[in-house]
Amino acid sequence: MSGDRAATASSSRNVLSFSVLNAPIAIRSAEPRVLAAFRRLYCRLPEASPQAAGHQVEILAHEEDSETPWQTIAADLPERRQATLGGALRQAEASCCIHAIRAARELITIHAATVVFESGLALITGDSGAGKTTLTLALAARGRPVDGDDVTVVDPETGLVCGLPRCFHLDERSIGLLLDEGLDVRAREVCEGFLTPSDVGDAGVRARPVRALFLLRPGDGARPEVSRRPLSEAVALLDGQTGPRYRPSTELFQHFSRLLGDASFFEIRRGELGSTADRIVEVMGDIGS
Amino acid sequence: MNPKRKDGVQVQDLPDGSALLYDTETATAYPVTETAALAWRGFDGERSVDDVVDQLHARFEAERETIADDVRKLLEDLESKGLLQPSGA
Repeated sequence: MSGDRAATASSSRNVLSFSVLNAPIAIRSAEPRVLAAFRRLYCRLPEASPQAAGHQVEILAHEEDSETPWQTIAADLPERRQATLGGALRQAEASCCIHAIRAARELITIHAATVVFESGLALITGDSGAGKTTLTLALAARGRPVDGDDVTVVDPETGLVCGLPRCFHLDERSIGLLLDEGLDVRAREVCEGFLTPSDVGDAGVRARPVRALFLLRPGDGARPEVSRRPLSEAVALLDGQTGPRYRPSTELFQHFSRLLGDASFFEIRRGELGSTADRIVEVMGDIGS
Repeated sequence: MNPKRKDGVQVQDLPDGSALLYDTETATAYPVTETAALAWRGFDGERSVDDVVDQLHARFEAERETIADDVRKLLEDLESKGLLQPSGA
């Protein structure tokens, strides 16, 4: 509980404050690994004043509870303890992300990964479970900086885009596939599965133009299949990836049209992880040449 | 009866020539190809289907019969989505 004086962060040394999509967020914990994890996650974002009213998240350690010692406290979270620090960190991170998205009413958020190439940004979207995270990290293993694998943020005023840093969620199969690609994620994570974009070479969260949107679909072969599709399909797709807050409107479609003004849209049927990542690198190279 | 676009359908043009038809009444968006977008603009109630096919044939390097087939399918598709004025309206 937050009233547990022994566990509650009590000095400013135990607080980190960031401005996430312009929303002040404070993370408190007496556990140094918590602050280290969030420092890596939000290292590219501006700091906020610790006094700024905003979202407050706290991670407590209840040493008397050997089964579920970790607790994340935030206004939007149910009271439920976690068995691992990694679980508490992911819960805290999700709470920060949801709060930031809700607060950023002037921005448009899209469910997509954001990867940086010389020619500009590649956005990768697809249904949950399509393999966006693993593919994003396979591109990171090829030296491509990554903003994030889940939330892309569009500034409707400029049409420029950046990713919101989030921790990656990986299962054992993905971890094995990435090891085959030369990326040992376990060796890079700060603690207990809390892997952040900065652990694999982040992109700096700088707004950039989009050069390609990839829709990742399941495939049934070793080799990926890429087909160029009309941009109108991309706009309709993005409309479906923005969440319930954004109702279809002429204004929203104009924003997407502007976002895709210098972009191409590709449907990619997934092949083996390495071949799929190589194909995306190839396509982005062709776009840039 | 010449085909006519339903009122309240807005067109968002995209840089590659394709377009999004947005039915404001149902808040539904339909992506169409460049060819379909041009055909859509031709469905003004004044021009016949043959006029629209001729217009597309002059613009694209395809057999007239192929274009006519595509326009027929497009009309069926638009009608099924409620994007055309009902016949007789």
